[in-house]
Amino acid sequence: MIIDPPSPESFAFSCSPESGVTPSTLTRRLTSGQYRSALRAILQDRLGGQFQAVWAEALDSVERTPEDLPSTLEDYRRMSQGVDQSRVEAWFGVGQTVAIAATSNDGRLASLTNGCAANPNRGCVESFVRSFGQAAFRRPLADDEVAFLVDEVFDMSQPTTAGWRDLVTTILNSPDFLYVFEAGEGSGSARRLTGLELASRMALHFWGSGPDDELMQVALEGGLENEAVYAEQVRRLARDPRARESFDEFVTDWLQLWRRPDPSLVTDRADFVAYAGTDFPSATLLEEARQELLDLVYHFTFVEPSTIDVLMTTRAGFARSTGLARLYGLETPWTPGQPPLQLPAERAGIMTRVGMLLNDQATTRPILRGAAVRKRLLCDQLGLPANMDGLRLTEADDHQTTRQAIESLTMQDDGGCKGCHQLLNPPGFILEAFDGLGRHRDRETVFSAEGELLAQHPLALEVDMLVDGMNLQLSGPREMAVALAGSHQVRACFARQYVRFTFGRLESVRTDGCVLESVRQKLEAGATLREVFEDIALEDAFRTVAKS
Amino acid sequence: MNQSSINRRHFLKGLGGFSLAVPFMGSLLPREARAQAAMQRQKRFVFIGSDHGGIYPQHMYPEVALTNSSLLLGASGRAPDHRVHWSPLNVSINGSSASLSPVLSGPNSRLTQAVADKMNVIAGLDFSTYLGHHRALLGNMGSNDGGDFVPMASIDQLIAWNSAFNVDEPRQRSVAMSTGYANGSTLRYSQSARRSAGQLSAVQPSTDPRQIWRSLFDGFTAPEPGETRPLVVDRVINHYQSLRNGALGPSSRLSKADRDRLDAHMQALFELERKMDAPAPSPSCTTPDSPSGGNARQKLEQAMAITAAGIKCGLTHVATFGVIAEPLSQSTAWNNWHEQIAHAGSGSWGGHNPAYQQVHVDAQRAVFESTFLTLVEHLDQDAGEGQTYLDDTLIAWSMESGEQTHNNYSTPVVTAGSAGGYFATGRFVDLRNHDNMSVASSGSPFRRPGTMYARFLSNVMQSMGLTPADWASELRTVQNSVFEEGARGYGYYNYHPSSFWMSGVDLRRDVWPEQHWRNADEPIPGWVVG
Repeated sequence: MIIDPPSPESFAFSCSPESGVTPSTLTRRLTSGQYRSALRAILQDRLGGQFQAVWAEALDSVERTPEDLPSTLEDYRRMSQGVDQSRVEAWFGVGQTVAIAATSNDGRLASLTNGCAANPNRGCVESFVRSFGQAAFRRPLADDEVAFLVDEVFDMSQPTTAGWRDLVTTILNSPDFLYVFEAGEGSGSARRLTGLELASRMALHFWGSGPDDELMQVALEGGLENEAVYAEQVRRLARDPRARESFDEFVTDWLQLWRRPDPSLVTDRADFVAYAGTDFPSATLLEEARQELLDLVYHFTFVEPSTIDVLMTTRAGFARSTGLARLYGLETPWTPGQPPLQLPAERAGIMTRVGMLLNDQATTRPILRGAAVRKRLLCDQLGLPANMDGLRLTEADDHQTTRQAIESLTMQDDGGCKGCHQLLNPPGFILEAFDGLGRHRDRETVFSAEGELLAQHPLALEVDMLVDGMNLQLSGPREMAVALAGSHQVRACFARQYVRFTFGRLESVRTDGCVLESVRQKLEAGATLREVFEDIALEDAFRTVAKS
Repeated sequence: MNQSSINRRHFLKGLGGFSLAVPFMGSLLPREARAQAAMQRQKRFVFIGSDHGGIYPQHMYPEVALTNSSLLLGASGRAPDHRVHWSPLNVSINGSSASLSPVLSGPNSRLTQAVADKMNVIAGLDFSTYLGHHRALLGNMGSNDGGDFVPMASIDQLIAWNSAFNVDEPRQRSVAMSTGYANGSTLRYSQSARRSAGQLSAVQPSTDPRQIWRSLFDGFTAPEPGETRPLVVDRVINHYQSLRNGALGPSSRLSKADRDRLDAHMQALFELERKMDAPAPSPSCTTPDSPSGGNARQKLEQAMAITAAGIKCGLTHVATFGVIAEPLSQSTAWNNWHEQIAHAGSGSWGGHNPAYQQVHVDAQRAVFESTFLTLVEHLDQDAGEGQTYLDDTLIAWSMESGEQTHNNYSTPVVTAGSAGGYFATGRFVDLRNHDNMSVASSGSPFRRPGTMYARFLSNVMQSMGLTPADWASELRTVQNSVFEEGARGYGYYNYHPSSFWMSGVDLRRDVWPEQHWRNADEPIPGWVVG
């Protein structure tokens, strides 16, 4: 094996004078996850012991709000920013449902209004509007806003329960709750976020929710302008348990864990039943396999902060169930809070985990496995096949392995497929060391549709794989893992991925060059994943908004 | 204080005024225009798109002698005269089965000659560029994997928001459902369905017939007598307006992007208000029961029944469905639909697996029966004045692939209804130029060039009362300077590089001369009346 990569600067981003901040052309809305988390936090804070009952009544309506769907172009859910009629109507419906549920009896109304509903006077109604509004708007309300809500919406001249309902509905449908307005301070195209805007951005990024009381207070007192105080708040938010959900969202979208098929649904295929044998997947295997990857990346980010190289090579296992552990050849699953399992030597890094390997057929999908390596870890720009007219099946049979079938189809000199597949195939072929259930294997077993054993082919795991612009001769998953761990391309790619997630849009190498380069340099310098995760908030780009 | 009872309509119905430009509302038309509109019959458009995998022409199209013809385009470049042919559709009966083709088959109690007389089958509608996996059947060619087209509004939304189309304002301008195909490919603009006035956003499809039922039939309650309190939707709208106009909070904090978002959101609130203010269905309207769920086929049939009920009640005039065929397959002879059925079943002729093609034919027949035929049954019922609801409707069914997988020659279209007499019916219309052998090959011996799918889309929109001026700005944006040269229809004026499909074949010279694009707003002979 040859590993002699070019210098890290080969993958450097240009932090040129015009770099800095990409102008926003679209005001961001809360993502579906942020909307639900923020709503829940607001109601929890206001309703105390009444929260569970109200939430239970509102849940059906909340769950009807459209999900953010990742797509080929919008590979992070945060990038899905459309607002269509159904979303507006769903938001409106939630506002009403919550308002009705929270005011449906005297006890709930008393909790919601802090007793004001029993004897409403201007002072206590204003107090409710200011506190409920601040929680929703992620900033204090101006006096004219308070007056509008009290006089125009609640109607002090005729205080009724309907007034409280209208207030809740209106505030929960306010643009200041649903959208993120960032005007910044000063003039010019690049403006520093105000303290309150910055607090909002921090909380939405790390927690997927609004600022808590402490952050809000610090922001109101101007504390976020103090570098040390700001850094302390960044660390507090990033290391708070509430950051886990947002972190998991990043990992899920980075590794596109939603792409894996569910093998437990295959119950009527004799070949798959024979293929799986005693490891026939349970209904929960897919979720367990996803969870393992989330636990793994979380562990090496927060529990045992490590560099990205470790993600590429680790044998640490986090299989929470017996069924998943057995696919790794282990008898005992991992218990959260305990040290990780030690997986067999053939496992090396995230790409060798069941969650990245699962298939719902009695075969593997080397092209898709290879695409995951090339696109998610190396950020190669590969389109879909340009001409699939006449594409044939690429499955093993009694004469050939899956690799042979794919090579004969995609590696013809005159076929037009070779350009991309000479990149895609090698990592996929290396991962042929694992079957469609993620089990390690030393030969490829082929069954007929009736479940009869047709063939057992020896595997060929030797490939030439392009990494960092160099053609590396690799002969197995561990060698690939080492190559990826040493790759500057992987670090530059991770910088892209995290910047994409943070800002919820496709990165621009021109205008995002400085933040991309900063993250890349940190990774090259051996920063831990926790430092990278946290320090994005220290970047100028995070604290600035550009106006076009 | 009062604990007044909750009135859902109080919450939803709006009375307040607003100053922003509002979408078309029929009630705001001048009296003369309303009188004229009342004399028109409301048309409807329903589109069904099914997913990936080609159906060979002998399995899709009727095998009939083509008795009528008309010149579509004279010889140009190396392309010979291009004639359109058509013949009546005749149902073949075999026992209890009736058939127009292997895919277009069903029980003889459902696929009758009377139904066939209201159908059309159209061959030879081509995309002149490669789309890969795509969801472009309603015109949004940006919705494809691997291409570099920018998104376009889909024609269902251009129709649904067009004032000429909406004789009666429906509660739901459109309903959409997807069982896995074409999610989010139906696009509309946030304001007035125009690129210049707003941002494109995807219409989120329902995934279950119960969602369609809720959107059409749930929530009608009579206003409570004596209710005087202003309504909450007005309060929310007022809040948006006050914010947008700088009347609340620091006025300088909103940028143009912020105001665009607010405008789009406000328009959605206006639309919500309009829907809730729409009159309840007449007493003669039959509200179907909320669907009970079931398997994939049952859910599709339920969705069709509910949509038809909504159409008959005047609650919607436009519906789109994205359907994947796989769950409708009853075969166990495959384990990987995409690679076996969609690809190995309909790739190069001679290299394909006929058993897999048959699985696909059977599954698409199930799509035909559970969606198209079900809708026809529910809509071909008396609507008064000697017409059925189907007569004023155009139902169209098409597929992601043409006659071979990832190959957009002859994307099949099957229709029912005449859109109020705009289309002739009961015909197999063959737009393929059988004298042009330029793209035939051993792998595709049956392949012949037709005309542009963009022309079909243009014809559909015109049948619904739109004119090319209604989508000219959209076309100009996506076609740039090429538009100025005279391309028409609805789509990208674009040829894939000549070497792509057939070495040595120049698509512009040999296959689709430019006149196909220049004529793409003109009626398709044999299909459009007159």
